[in-house]
Amino acid sequence: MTLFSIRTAVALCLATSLAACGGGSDKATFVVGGTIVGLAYSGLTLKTGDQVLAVAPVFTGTTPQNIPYAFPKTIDYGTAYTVAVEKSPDKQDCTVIRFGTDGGNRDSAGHTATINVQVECVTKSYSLGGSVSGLTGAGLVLINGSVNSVSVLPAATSFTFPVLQSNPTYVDQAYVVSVLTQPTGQTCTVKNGAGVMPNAAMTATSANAIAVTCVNN
Amino acid sequence: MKHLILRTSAALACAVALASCGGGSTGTLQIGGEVAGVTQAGLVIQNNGGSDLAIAAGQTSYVFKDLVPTDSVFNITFKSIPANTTGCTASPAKGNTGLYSVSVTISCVITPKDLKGTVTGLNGRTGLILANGPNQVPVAADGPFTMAQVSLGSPYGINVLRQPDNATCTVTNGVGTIADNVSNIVVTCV
Repeated sequence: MTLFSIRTAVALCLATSLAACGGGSDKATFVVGGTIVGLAYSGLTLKTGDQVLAVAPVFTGTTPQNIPYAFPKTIDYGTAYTVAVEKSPDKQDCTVIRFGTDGGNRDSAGHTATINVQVECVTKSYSLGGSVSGLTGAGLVLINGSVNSVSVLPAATSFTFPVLQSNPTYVDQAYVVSVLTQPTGQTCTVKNGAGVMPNAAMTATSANAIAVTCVNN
Repeated sequence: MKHLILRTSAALACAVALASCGGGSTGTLQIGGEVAGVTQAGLVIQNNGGSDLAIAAGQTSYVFKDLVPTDSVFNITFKSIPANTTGCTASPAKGNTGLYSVSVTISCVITPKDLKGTVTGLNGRTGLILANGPNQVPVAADGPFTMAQVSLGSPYGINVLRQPDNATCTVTNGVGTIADNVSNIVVTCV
């Protein structure tokens, strides 16, 4: 008799806790999701709790589109959650736009009508430069198309374009380095002047390094 | 007596004129902000048709000398714009000062010019891509090609980013500074 009542109580208890767990009928559930802005490469994975979600880029022409995302498992009203970038694409840096009442990228389900966590991806950019040899004259000016220019002083053995906040050299972006102004008394030519930015800075020691060679007139 | 009245009214008129002109002498708020796209002299701005403020080439910010009162109307207008721009805008151009100093951004658009040329010798070979810095233009056939427009006064440097299959192309007149529309770039493929 005693045993029976204990069993009943346990079963009852289990049933109750399962109902609470499933969130079944009496608790609102929430989808953890939001929008990803600027995703241009594959390889992004997002994480919330024990769920991991891989998201691929979507393009219209060559322009990355804003992508809605949603983790498959819903969470109950009142459940605390976070969203984090588990891994960014190799060529981008993705970050979660700060959310939550304390700006700490955590909140509880139901605090807002729907969960909408924004993720922003920015393509990496690096400096563009190369080697210089034989330069003795003053006045050499190199350009990268119409977006950037750099003056190179006599005896320099390398050059680097200034890093422009407004116009950085992004990975996979084309560059064309040309001589805009020749130095006094010399003629400089550019080898490997046209190329595509790798996932690293272009320097005098890069593969297919840009090489400026100057000779006396 | 008649003289005195004349004098008084003249003085009064003068005082009124000064007050409306200075306007700002009683104010406490500044109107100013950032400037973008000014590479030549010639930009002169005014607030409420007041005194001229000339913005020099390369200037990146400005402040009107005259302070303005709280809760007063401001209206930024352009008396003249630099010759190398298609137009300038103030944002916000009009408004009410409210309680705080007002930030109005002035931006001018430098006149864009064409950058064009001709390709010869492709004879059906495909794959040629020309570039001016990050601006890539695939060229499918012999004939004219058009790069993205470039602002007046900016340099350009065009080269072959990708050679076509089974040919080598070279660029003539590929480098320069935009003084007008450019159409003399020649790409020769052999």
